[in-house]
Amino acid sequence: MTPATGVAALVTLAAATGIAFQQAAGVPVFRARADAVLVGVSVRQGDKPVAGLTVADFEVKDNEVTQTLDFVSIEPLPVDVSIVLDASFYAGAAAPRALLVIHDIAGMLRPDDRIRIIVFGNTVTTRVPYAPAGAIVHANEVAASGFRAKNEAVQFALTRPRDPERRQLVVVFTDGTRDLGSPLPSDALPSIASHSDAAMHVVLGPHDWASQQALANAIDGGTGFAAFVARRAATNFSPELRPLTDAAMATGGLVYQATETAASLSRGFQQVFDDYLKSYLIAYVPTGVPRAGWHDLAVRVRTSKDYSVNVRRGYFGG
Amino acid sequence: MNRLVIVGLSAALSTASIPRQAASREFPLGACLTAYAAHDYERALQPIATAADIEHAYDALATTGTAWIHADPSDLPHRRLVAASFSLEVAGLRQLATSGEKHAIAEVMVDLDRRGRLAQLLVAWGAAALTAQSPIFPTYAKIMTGGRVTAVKAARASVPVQPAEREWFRAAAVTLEGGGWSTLLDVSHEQPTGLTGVMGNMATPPAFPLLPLALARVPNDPLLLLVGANAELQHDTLMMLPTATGPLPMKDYVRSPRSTWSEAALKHYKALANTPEVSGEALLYAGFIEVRLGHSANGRRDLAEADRLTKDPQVQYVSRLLTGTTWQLEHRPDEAERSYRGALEAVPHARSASSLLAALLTNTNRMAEASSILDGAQGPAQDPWMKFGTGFDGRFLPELMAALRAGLR
Repeated sequence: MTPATGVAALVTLAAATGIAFQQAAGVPVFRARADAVLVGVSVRQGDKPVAGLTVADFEVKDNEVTQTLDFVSIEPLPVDVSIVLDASFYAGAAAPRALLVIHDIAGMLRPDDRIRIIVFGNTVTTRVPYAPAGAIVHANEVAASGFRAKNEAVQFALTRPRDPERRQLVVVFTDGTRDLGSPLPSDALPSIASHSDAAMHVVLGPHDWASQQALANAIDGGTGFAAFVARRAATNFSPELRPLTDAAMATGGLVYQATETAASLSRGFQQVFDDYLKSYLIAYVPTGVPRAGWHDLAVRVRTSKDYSVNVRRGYFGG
Repeated sequence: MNRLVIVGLSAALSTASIPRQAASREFPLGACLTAYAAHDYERALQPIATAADIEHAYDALATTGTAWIHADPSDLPHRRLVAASFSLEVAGLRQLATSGEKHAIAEVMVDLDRRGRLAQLLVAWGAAALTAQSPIFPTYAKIMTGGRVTAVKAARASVPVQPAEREWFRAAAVTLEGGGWSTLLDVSHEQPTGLTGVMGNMATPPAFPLLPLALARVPNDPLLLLVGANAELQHDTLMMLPTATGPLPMKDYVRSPRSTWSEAALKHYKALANTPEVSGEALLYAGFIEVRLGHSANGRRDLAEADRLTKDPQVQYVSRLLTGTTWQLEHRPDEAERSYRGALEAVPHARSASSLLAALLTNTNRMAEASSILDGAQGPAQDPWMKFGTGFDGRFLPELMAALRAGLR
């Protein structure tokens, strides 16, 4: 996958253990199976997700050993969405915008999905615990702070026990300001992300709203989030942001650049969420590799070189 | 007017609340001070509910406070103490507000510099009133333009030291440190130089010479000496990055001018290591500096000694937290885990140790326990580490103010 193609893909690991599944009458049926690995995969051609792929289209290597797939399906599991908001998106005059975004996002979820809101300033606060889709979310204003406990907030969002019945999606909205509020160093984030079940995406708000808005206008006429000027450009971010962007990449997530308006942020989430829901689940029982320890994952679509697949870097086998 | 008369007058006034006024010249200072002299502290501080009220209170003190003190020549020492203590209470209200006291100051209305300036002005006014140097620094501009040496000399030759003065100066120093304004204590006679490192040109603000003045009045007080060392350390902005627990990233830091303040502070801490009242905290800071300078073994030794000498759970917490970070840097996760768990035994659910322990657990596939620990750290639990970097001794303010009030009786 190259920036020139503008292609993006998404892969998540829903569970390293605990699930296997089979298909009955076109509907995925899940049953427990202790030795199965379940991986979420997003395949894109240009900016569009690719649909209709089957087991025969995928090649999966686990620690460089080709695996036999049991199943491939478009993701049916309910999703727990964690929205991690920088207080600068949320405090004072920005609060109405943030609340609008939150309400928009809550409205996009499917009936079985849930949402929680985590806000970080100089502390990390769960403003809204997991709430069902469509619930009216009340989130009070918070005070902005110069000390952003961003690392701690990301850690909190990513550190959840595995739930084989649900998937976890984390979307971090931040202006990228340096973390001066967390005891946890930034370079701890990629390792935490590697151990997490969640897929994490990072949406960067610009430091300079005016120039970013002008850029967005130039690209997409001001419609907003289509102007992901930095999409999949993690290597272009500052060293201070690198641990966060590396963490996102480790989960199979992406880094986006947002424009100013509430609509753009909502649209941004919509795109992330749509992509997520259109990702595939693939399942296999690892063969030819020791179960314990770190497993490198590599996934490709063998039937087309035009498709872009992004695989999370791997998983821990216990 | 003697003290009995004041008490009687305030009792007569006690049936009516003191009105809060919008304009500074209308601030009911006389009624507040009279109520304070009568130990009716709630009534005395009632007109101060917002940040603007603090400014009005200071304006009133600066313009009419001295007149109130001299209204009863027979009671001058006591009135000096009352006025100075009231001024100090107002300066510390932000801290009390964050400690859950009833005076909820709308701190968002005043930016950090302004809050620090106001606190310093109030402390300076109180110190001047207490030592009968009225008015030595009526404005911030005059603090900036000099007079510090003159003030210290005058303090030494000033009125006799009252017994409660020790409590006043201790509370004053802790008020500034606890508010994150240690650099305003002006511990040194020299302005720092060379602070042009990665933090940029960090000009140290001119400050009222509280600590030199305090030590002139209360020589060799251990807490004042400790706060002075902390203030010295605070000048090293790089050293005191609030979240960095490990060694500083620059290899050449130790030899750079930036380390001067920290090295000076380290000597002060070591000198206090045998003073029982403050030895635990002094060694804690000494260990912290050693760790930041990359001397992990020395740091662990000081931190262990600090832990042994103190019964203060906050000192124990930070000692164990920092010890854990040194083990982690040496790739000894088992020892680090034990240290972090020990920290959480001292202060359960504190954020910093919870976060670092959870990261360790996550990396060893103990995600469920890591998640549970992070869940427990949500909410308003105190984190001594986050206060350690900017004003650890603020935790003493309530008891110091109580001691000061007791000294007023």
